[in-house]
Amino acid sequence: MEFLQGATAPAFALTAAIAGAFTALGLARDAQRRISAGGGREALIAPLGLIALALAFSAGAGAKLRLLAGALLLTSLALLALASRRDRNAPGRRVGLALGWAAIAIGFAGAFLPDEAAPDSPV
Amino acid sequence: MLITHMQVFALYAALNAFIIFALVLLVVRARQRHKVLIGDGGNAELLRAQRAHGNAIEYVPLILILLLTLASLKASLILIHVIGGLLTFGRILHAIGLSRSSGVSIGRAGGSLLTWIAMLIAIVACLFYALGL
Repeated sequence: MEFLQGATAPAFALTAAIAGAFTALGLARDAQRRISAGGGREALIAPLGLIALALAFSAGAGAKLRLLAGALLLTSLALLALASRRDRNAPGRRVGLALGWAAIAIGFAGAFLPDEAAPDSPV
Repeated sequence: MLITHMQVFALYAALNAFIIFALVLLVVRARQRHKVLIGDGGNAELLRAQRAHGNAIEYVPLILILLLTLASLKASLILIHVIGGLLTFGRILHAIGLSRSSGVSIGRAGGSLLTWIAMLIAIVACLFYALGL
């Protein structure tokens, strides 16, 4: 398994850049309100989600699975970045966290699932 | 000597991991000195050590992942050095600034600024290479 080689690397880079932008927005909002310890939890979800996604990309997971994990991760980070900083139980924060953990689980699962296009796939 | 992209990434990953390790040791030392096993116990020194470590944990992993992505895309070595250098120097400055004072200090402000610049450059560079601009 090679790390992010070939045609999938730019797709991961695009996801990482957008995830980074959302995370930066969330952390900036935290800093503005002087909330410490990653109030929006972006700082936890973003790296874990990207590592899970990178594993899925590197292991050659199916395109649909990669797309699902990436879309869930970016939606999660967008919700977390825009969620209210005053209410720790804001709906955006709770839904964002749930989607983020789902993206991480799907990404890690993708690292172990066979590529749907592989000729020796058992499916 | 041929220096590969992954070697340059490994250098900055190791340096930043070492900084985080040093910050962990400062938290442990403050805990032992003030005999506070959980939380900060209202102790300013322990709170500063915790926040210096927490702040590094919030920023370093994501920026290193962006740096790893750029290294895998065989981005310019100079660009990787610039991002890695800004991040590493910024984290050192921030750690020194926050360890000495909980107020606004040159180290803390400068460290945060350098970290933000490193993050923004990494994001823009990832977009640049992803879209093939």
